[in-house]
Amino acid sequence: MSDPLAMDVRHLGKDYTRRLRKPGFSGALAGLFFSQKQLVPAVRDLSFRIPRGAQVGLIGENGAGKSTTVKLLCGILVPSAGELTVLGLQPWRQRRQLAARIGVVFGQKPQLLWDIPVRETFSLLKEMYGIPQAVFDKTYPKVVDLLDLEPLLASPVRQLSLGQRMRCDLAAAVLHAPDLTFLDEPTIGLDVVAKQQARELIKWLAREFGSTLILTTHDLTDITETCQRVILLDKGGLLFDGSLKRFEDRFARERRVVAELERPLSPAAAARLKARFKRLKLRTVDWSPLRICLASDRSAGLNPAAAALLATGRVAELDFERTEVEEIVRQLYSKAKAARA
Amino acid sequence: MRELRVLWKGFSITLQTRLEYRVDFVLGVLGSMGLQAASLGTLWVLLKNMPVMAGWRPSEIVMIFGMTALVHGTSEVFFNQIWWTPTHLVRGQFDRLLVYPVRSLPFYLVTSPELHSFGNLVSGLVTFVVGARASGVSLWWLLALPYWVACGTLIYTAVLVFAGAAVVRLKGNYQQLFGLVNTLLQNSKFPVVVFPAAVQWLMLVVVPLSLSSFVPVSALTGRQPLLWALALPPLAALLLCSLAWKAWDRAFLGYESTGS
Amino acid sequence: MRTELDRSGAGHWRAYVSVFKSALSAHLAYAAWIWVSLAATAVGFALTLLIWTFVRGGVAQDPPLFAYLTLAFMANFTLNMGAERYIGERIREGLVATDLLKPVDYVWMSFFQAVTDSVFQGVFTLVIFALAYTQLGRALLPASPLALAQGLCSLGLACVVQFHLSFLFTQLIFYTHNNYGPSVMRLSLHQAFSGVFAPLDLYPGWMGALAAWLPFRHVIYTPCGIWLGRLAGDEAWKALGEQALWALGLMLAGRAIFGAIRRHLTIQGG
Repeated sequence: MSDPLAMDVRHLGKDYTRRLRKPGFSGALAGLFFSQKQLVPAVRDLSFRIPRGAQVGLIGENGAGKSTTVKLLCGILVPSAGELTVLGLQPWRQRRQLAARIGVVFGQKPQLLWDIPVRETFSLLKEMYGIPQAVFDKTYPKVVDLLDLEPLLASPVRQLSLGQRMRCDLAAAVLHAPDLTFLDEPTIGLDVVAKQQARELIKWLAREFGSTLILTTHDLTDITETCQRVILLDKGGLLFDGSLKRFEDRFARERRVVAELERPLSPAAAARLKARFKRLKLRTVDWSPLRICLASDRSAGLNPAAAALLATGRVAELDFERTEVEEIVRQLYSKAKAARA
Repeated sequence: MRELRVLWKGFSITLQTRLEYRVDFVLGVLGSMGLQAASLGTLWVLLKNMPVMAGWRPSEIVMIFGMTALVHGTSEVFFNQIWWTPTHLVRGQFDRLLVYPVRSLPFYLVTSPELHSFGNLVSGLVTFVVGARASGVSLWWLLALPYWVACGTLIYTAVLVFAGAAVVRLKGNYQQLFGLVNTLLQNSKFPVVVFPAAVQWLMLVVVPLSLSSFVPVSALTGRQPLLWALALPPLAALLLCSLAWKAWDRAFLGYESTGS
Repeated sequence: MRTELDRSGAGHWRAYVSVFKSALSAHLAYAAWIWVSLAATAVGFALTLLIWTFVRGGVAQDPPLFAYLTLAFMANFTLNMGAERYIGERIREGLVATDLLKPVDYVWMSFFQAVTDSVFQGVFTLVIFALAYTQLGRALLPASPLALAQGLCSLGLACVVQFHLSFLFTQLIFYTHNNYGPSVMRLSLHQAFSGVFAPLDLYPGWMGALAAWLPFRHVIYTPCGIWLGRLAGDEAWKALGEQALWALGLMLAGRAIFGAIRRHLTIQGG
């Protein structure tokens, strides 16, 4: 019976050695002859388990250790500490066996061969992964259609724009219907339409083949649209690991009401409303002549506020909002930074 | 078998794209023939001062030149990508290689053929033939030439792979390590006996680049038993290739990639 | 009302000094590279010397020749600017677009980047000079104070000639789309006609005559020959004059060709 876990990570750590260089020209010159080294932990004591078929968003600030974590999981890097198995294999020891079952996109480093047409790369990958014809007949037309690749297939990769290369790269990573797909900033350089196409492809892959997905991205819409679970990294360590719903419920209790006004309120009406909102214990996020935004942890408080705003007769539009995931992440990092300081 | 097919496919696809750069191909072929001509010119200047070098006539030395050029050219045609190791390392481009389900070294070696080196192949063959005829060596020995060139190519490439492994281990842009290996190859064009004993030891045993040029030509000109020329090069090639491969795989255990 | 910013400082000569300094700092960041580079090149030099030692029967038999070979090696190492690397790879990868966005002259910017290679490498060849001096002594020193002045001037001009030769060949990359062909072409001509392996006055008949008409001699043979007195008196002044003319001519030719190419430039990829 196959392992129900896609990955089992226990106390994973990775350190890099960095040369310390004194600033300035004289420091650089001294560095020719003498240098100190420093051990920098990129990943610290990371532990999590991911079942097969899950779609997990891996998020973190720049330098949080996301890409290092992905590279450890793919077998590119050897861990400094801890244990991990991916699809029942030890990544760096059984690299080739694992590589045959995973698909990887590195947003900053396309895997396509620079000088050859896209079609030829796909043909090479078909051979390399030994993709059965039945699988190829399913994946190839789908990726070409979903990502709109037909006009690009004959072009050498070096002639494509960044967004075009990314779409081709995404296709190349999933042609062999991998059991596990790592997407490290896959929507970089993609326009709005292409991003949506990429998300559709990811969802199709999960539906059709039950592929497990690990997605790292700075565009949190990618995560909310495709993932059910979020792992949040900070300085190489784990800050949060749980479902997206729990993430939002725990950190995004705040609700808002936003009113766009046709014309400004009179000073008297504005003063009355402010006093009313104060009694309702609402927080004022924005109060400008044509826009009012109020926030509360309890949605109940917002309903009377909305009724009061509508009663002014000057509301053009009224919306209820939850705190965006991006805002949650920003607040979390601010708190973590403050705690470290 | 599948892996061999993948290697062949990778090689042939990248070869096709090289053929698209026609002007570059012509310039490169002419340039590499020019480099060979330049080194023959240097030999000419040297021989003006010493017509017979350690008992070796000019035509015999020219045979060594030709064979070395063939080794150089064959290695570059098939395995040129090893020279790009420092650049790929610095740009973190090995990440891509390491997520392919193939043995990294052979796939890496064959997926960037360098067609310009046909210039080395052509000039090397011409040089060898001219030297052989002038030395009175039978041209039937041309049939054995691919054997020695193949051994020499594997030896030279293995030494370059050692350089590549060192670059990965040292984690820096040490392009000059490859230049050093090439310098040793270029100097193996001369009869190794003109060098002091320590250098002869280096060129015949430690970094045996002279083994597949000097030793076969020595045999063809009656200076060495033919058995040495037939047995030593493949043994050296086998040993060096397996050691180099191990060194390459070990080096990647410390690979650090770059950034995101 | 928007305040117009003062942009008169853009493209000032201080910008080129900054380019020079930042390129030099980049070299220092990869410090170990220079040691490996020097060691690797020194091995090649040592092997060349061993061959000549065998041919000549020993260093003591011909100190001027070995002095020339030492200086030629030093000059070759110093002037190995790797301009094809800077310029050629950036053209091939389309990064020339970002270079052309800067408010500085592209050719001068490339020169000041490339010449840091020379400065950096030149300092390290002094180690070789010191080692060679223990064997060759006075034979390594300039033939006269005038030869010293002329030699240093010639070395400066050699930098300009070498850079612009590389620059000219890299313009071919706009047509070949690959930098191997042009760089191998230039290297073969350099190795054949610069005098790096032997003084040009030792070259047989037609080779020496051809070398006299090409600019490559002014990278190695001219500065080394002037320094050691192989080119002395009127011959030295004539060589210096020719070198200066070639430097100017190559500079103008490079600019003209680059200007023409820019009008038809396509840079693919986004």
